[in-house]
Amino acid sequence: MLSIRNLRARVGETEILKGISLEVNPGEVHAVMGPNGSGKSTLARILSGREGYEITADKLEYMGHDLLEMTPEERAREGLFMAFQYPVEIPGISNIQFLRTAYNSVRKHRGEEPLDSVDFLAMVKSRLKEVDIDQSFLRRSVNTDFSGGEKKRNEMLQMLVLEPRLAILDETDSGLDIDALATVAGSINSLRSEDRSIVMVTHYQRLLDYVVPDHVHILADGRIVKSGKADLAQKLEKKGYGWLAEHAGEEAEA
Amino acid sequence: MGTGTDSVNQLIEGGYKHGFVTEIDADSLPPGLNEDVIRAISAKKQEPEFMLNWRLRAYRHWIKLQEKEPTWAHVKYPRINYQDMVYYSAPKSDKEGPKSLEEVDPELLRTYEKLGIPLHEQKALAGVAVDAVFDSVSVATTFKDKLAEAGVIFCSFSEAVQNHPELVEKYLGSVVPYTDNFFATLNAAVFSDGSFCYIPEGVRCPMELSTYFRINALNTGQFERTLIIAEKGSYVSYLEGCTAPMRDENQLHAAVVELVAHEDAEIKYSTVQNWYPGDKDGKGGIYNFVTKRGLCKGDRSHISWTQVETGSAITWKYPSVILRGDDSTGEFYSVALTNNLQQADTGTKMIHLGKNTRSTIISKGISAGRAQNSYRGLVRVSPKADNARNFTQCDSLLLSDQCGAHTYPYIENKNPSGRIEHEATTTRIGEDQLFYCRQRGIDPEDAVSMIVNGFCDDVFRKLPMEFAVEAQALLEVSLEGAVG
Amino acid sequence: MNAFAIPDFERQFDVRREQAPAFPDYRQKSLDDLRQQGLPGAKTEDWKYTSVREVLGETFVEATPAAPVAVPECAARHLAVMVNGYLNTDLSRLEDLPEGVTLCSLAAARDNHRDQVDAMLGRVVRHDRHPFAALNGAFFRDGLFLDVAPGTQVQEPLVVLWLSGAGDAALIQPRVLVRVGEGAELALMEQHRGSAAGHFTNQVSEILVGDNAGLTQVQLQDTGKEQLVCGTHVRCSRDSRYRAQTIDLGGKLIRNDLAISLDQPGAEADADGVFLAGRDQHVDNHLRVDHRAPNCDSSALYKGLLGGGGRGVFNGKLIVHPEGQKTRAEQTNHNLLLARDVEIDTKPELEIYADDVKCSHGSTSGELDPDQLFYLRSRGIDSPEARALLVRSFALEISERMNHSRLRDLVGEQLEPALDRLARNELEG
Repeated sequence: MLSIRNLRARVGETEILKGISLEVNPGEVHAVMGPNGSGKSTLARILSGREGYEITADKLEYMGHDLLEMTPEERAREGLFMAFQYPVEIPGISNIQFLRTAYNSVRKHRGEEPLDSVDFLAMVKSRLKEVDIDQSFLRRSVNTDFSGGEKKRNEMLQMLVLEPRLAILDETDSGLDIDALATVAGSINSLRSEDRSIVMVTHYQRLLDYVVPDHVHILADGRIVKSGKADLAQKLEKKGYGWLAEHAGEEAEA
Repeated sequence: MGTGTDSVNQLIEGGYKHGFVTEIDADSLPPGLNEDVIRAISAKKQEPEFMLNWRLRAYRHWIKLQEKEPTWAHVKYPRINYQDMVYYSAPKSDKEGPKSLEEVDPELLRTYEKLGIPLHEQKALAGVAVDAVFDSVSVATTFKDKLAEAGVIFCSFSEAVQNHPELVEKYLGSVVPYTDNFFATLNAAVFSDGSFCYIPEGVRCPMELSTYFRINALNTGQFERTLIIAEKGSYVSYLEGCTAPMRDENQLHAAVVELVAHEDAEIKYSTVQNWYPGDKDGKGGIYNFVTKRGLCKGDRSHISWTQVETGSAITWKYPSVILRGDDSTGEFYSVALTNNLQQADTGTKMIHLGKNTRSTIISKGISAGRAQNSYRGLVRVSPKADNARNFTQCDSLLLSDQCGAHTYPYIENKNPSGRIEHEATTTRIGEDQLFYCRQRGIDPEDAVSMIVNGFCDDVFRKLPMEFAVEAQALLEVSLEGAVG
Repeated sequence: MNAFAIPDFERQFDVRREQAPAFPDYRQKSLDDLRQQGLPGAKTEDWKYTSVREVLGETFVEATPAAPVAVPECAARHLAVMVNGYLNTDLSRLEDLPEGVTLCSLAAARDNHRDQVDAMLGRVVRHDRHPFAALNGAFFRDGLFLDVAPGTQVQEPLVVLWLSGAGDAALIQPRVLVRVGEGAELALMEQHRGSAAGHFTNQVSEILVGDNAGLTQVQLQDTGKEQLVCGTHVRCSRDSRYRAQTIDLGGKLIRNDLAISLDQPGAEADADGVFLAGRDQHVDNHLRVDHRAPNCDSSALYKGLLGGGGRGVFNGKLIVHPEGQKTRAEQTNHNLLLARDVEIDTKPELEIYADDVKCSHGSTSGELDPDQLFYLRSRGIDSPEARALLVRSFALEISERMNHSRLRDLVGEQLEPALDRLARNELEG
């Protein structure tokens, strides 16, 4: 699904990612954790195609395509979905119009006929309940004057509608109260399937109580310093990121 | 960030599609302005004495205003030398006056074809009567006969002066007096043609009336004048379109529009203005200094202005409504798009004099490039205007980090039962939003045009269907560009 | 003695030059600025709705410190009393001011804190478009100097009482300098209490709010027959918080120019106001907020209440400069017209030169909502009582936004009775 080998990224003189390697197979859920400034959001942004980084990698492939050759919209149409940490407000476009345009762009790419507005609305309505969103929400402008929780749930709604192959969730859990977190986690779990992969980027262990990952990677200072199973996250929760710093040296030597 | 702004800029750069010059012989007066020029214009048009006298009064007043060219608007331009300008330019072949479309210079007709305004079949199907003003004179008016059946007079201003002098004398300057402002005064002195429209009592005009204005000759100022009178209980919808060729020099367009709505009458006036805006560096383009005002004279009368402004180097215009009749209604719906070095200072005035008068103002300003876009509006509720209501919504959308969007409303309430509400917002389309759309698989071009159209939707809904499509296309032209 | 007609400023300046007044360079610059723009007239955009013809036509005497004055009851722990624009230490209570607070007359500050005065005088106020500020700069005699040293917390409000004595119509032109140092906090309440005399006060305050400092400033104005033009110019540094409340209870003429400049990232400003105007009263609030740095927030809420014969003006100007990316700003103005024969003129302006901003402006004017009135009456509340209730709830939204409880109480004590008088239509100049 996603194959990364020795990914490096810099902005100007500052190297942010210092050689990341990561293999995500179909059906897997990975959690990428790390303290602030460790480079985890940068990793998510690079995968979604955000400009502004100088990138080198021995390999950076998604479904066998070289990611660096793909524009952000091509990645999206091939099923790579990014749930943003700070979803932007777009006044003037209603949610429903935005969703339909995005959905039909993907269909067109696959050589399918666009869905008309009636059928599309019916399909979206069926998804609204899963993210605990009221129907009036669809007529409001995209993310405009949404609360933090509404924005995050809107990201989940888009994810459910667009049915991606690879979903990258950038701190989707931060800033949520416990109820909203449960809703978001429900959306993520409902998406889990054999041919789909999920990469959750998060600062906190809390989300992982709801969505149990197959693999956990810990990022510090632009490197993956530790990888393991779900219990790694719990260990981290108990001992804090400080514990990592002591072990970072060992990993690098090893 | 830098590259981001560039890509937004690329999106909104659009070529000017009406930039051709029609090469036909023009019958022009020499440049310059004095009483002899005024007399010559009046004589060429074989005007009755009251017209000449009115022009001369205006000219003499204008002389007094020499140092009073308005400076309060948020626009900058070099001083205009009014003595370098040509005040009358008629296409020569028009000298005899075409009797029918077949007699119109085919070159002219081709010009209109290029503009996408076929004068005959297409419009016949569309049911639109067109009066086309080319440089300074009216060239042809279609459907005159059909309109005459309904009793509607729709002709060039010159013809109206010849055939309906009593109406012209009665209403000319009754809404915009020749003393109104610097540019209106100049127009009163030198205006050469324009449109005239009269809807008799109780008549619902059977079709949309439409005028296309075009400036063609070099160094020519265009000063047309439009006068629309809707008698008791009548209705008319009037559309106006404007284009001009690409020129390196700035050209002045100082028009005046007067609307009079009697009891229970309704006038809808729509404009799609696409004068040449100048090039990317601000060279050339039209100075559009226009005075437009409607008078809701009778009770329950209704005047509505809708404008889509994408052209002109500088726009200075405030289509206004004087709500004199009780229960009368005024509306102003505007989209103004400025790009590159364009400057727009536009808005409206709603003057509430009668009881239970209502007004609505919806203004959408879009700024891109290094443009400056200002809304300037006045809402005044006078002491006698009991229960007057105004609602104003002014929204600005910013597409670059070097443009400006400004809102200057003046709100004056002298009646406690008057209720005035004003809301203004300024927001942006930024690189973050475009990226968000792309991450969902949407083309950046589609995204921008979707956002802009959504932003303008309130106004487009007010345009007659045919014009709404044109306006939307025009915005897309102004927004489209080479996306890498 | 000392007759002073404002339009005669050139000659007056020459006369005074011989007395070798303090700050000659700044005075000269102020005079030049005043000469360049001239005094406001009917065509001056910023004075479109407020006429100062009467002030400009009057011949004043120049105010002196030794005017007889009645000091109203004031329970404040820290109190500075200004008489005709001069600090009167005998009437003031300054003993309990915490260490780190310096409060003295401007004249004293010139001798004892020269560096600080030089660093501030004329450095915050902008004369362009403020002709009266330039006039003050050319002619001020004295005023107030207030400095709060870095890290100092002044919890109890400091009240500055501006009083004027009886006597011939005087021209009162004080200059105020306030600096709140890094990390310091100050709650300041200025109160203008006018007399029945025909004085004209032209006050200018220059205020610096330092890095991460907080200043809450209330200006409560009740000028009676006096006319007041009050310019308050504020510059806010990084991460500072400035909260202003302007409470105008009426006066023959009150004109406020509150100009706030958010100079460095993270600065925050809230400017709220209530203004009341009854018969023969004219209250004009001009608010200008300049966003000159990224990530600054500002908000403003002004509420106007006009009783019979009253006249109100509100001009809110929000300017976002090219450096002001990520600005979030809003300004709102609501006006209640309680009688016929009133006028409210508002200009809520936005000037935006940056693109990554979110700004909004709103303004309404109208009478009391008849549905609300009816609702109250249908619950058995009689009409005058219902009016009074609605008027109070309309205006008190402003004082409720004040998070400093002592200041809120001090404001409420005077605002509430004035609102009741207005609701009964008894507010007069």
